[in-house]
Amino acid sequence: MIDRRVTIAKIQQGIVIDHIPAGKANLIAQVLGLNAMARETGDIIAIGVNFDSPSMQKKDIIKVENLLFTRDMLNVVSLIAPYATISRINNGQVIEKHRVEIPVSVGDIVICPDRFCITNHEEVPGKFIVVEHDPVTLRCHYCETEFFGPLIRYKEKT
Amino acid sequence: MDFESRDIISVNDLTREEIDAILHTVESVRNHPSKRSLCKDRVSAMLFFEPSTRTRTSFEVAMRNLGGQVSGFYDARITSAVKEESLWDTVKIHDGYGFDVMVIRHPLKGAARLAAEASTIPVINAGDGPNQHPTQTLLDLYSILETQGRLDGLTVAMVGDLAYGRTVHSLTEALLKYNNSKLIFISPRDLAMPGHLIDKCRKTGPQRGNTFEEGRRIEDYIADVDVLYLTRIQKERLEARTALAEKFRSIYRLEAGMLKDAKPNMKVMHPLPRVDEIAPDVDHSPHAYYFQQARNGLFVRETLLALILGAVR
Repeated sequence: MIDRRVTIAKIQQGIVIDHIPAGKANLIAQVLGLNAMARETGDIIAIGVNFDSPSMQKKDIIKVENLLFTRDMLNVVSLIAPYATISRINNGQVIEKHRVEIPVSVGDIVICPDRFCITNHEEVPGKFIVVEHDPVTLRCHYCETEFFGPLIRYKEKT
Repeated sequence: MDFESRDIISVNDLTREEIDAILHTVESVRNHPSKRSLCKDRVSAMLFFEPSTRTRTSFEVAMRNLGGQVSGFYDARITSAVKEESLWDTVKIHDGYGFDVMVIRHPLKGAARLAAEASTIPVINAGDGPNQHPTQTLLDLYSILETQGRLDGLTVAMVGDLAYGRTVHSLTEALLKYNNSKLIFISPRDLAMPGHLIDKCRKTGPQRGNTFEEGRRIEDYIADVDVLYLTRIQKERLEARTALAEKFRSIYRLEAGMLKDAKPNMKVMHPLPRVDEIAPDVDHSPHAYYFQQARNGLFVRETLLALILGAVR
């Protein structure tokens, strides 16, 4: 019998986003703009989908060979993966590990679901206030519409 | 409390104390001995991207009553908006003309907030689509305060189209900032108060002793209420079901005969225009207050302009 164990190679330098609900890694990569970043910087990005996890059964994992992400930038991950953990790796060692925190506000990564909102008619960077944590509920800074769940749609960053 | 240079975009931006401060200034501006020179040489820009009669006229008269002037446009079809100029650019252009304050009405939600960000002068929202119309809410509150002497501990029934009527949404949010109110939402099921506002009443109501209930018939509540706030049932909201709108209009219609058990202090209010929801015979009742309420819009707008322009404190 062949051992199906698959791993992602360790990184020397960068960030590991772990404990992502299975199937959500690509969305997180999209929201963080990892593709665009990789094109620009040539950094390695590894996206693992459906890995076995004792606590989550199945989980996704992302490793990024880049240390420039700030805590605030990574906190948007919490909208998609509230229990994700971030490990910062330097010289192959974990130098910091923390859970993502739900941010107070969210920038131009979300689309307001209200079609009568000015942000869907003019080029205005979106701004959203997090008004509830469970479920994560956002309020559009402009039109004051509150929304949660599948109504939270993310902008495509190509 | 200083309102000079402040934007008035949403009633949600105002605390109870700030609302009280504005409402308690109305009387002094209304009867100010040198009212005609309070805003002398000040000019208000009027950016009306969609039609308005009462709001526009009362802002114009308010500014004139304070000794100021207005200039702008009242129909986006005659402006560069038809040349696809963005709201941002239109506001920037007007901002550069040296106005002192800007009043804006726009069909899209959030337009006034964006205008305030584009502008260096204070912006007053005169209605951003179905979202906010803070000067209407303030005049509603002022009318309630004027007739009831308080904003706490009142029983307020809102009737009609509670699903789409922005005035009743904002009034509910504003009254939730006060204490011990009883809010009654009377509407057909198809036009009931939106779920998020019911949730808000349920969640935040008990902290201040506010309660609410939903009802279907005006007659069941008329003897209990201090304020009966009616709204127009708009046919366009019920789309193809115009027959349903007609039916609702006949059920949610107030006639003078229905007022016989009303408390002496009870007042009937309406943001106007009305269609059939208040019979003309109610106009002669001492409970009718909607025309005075509309007139209060003038005094509240005078007060806001005077406060924002620093003419009073």
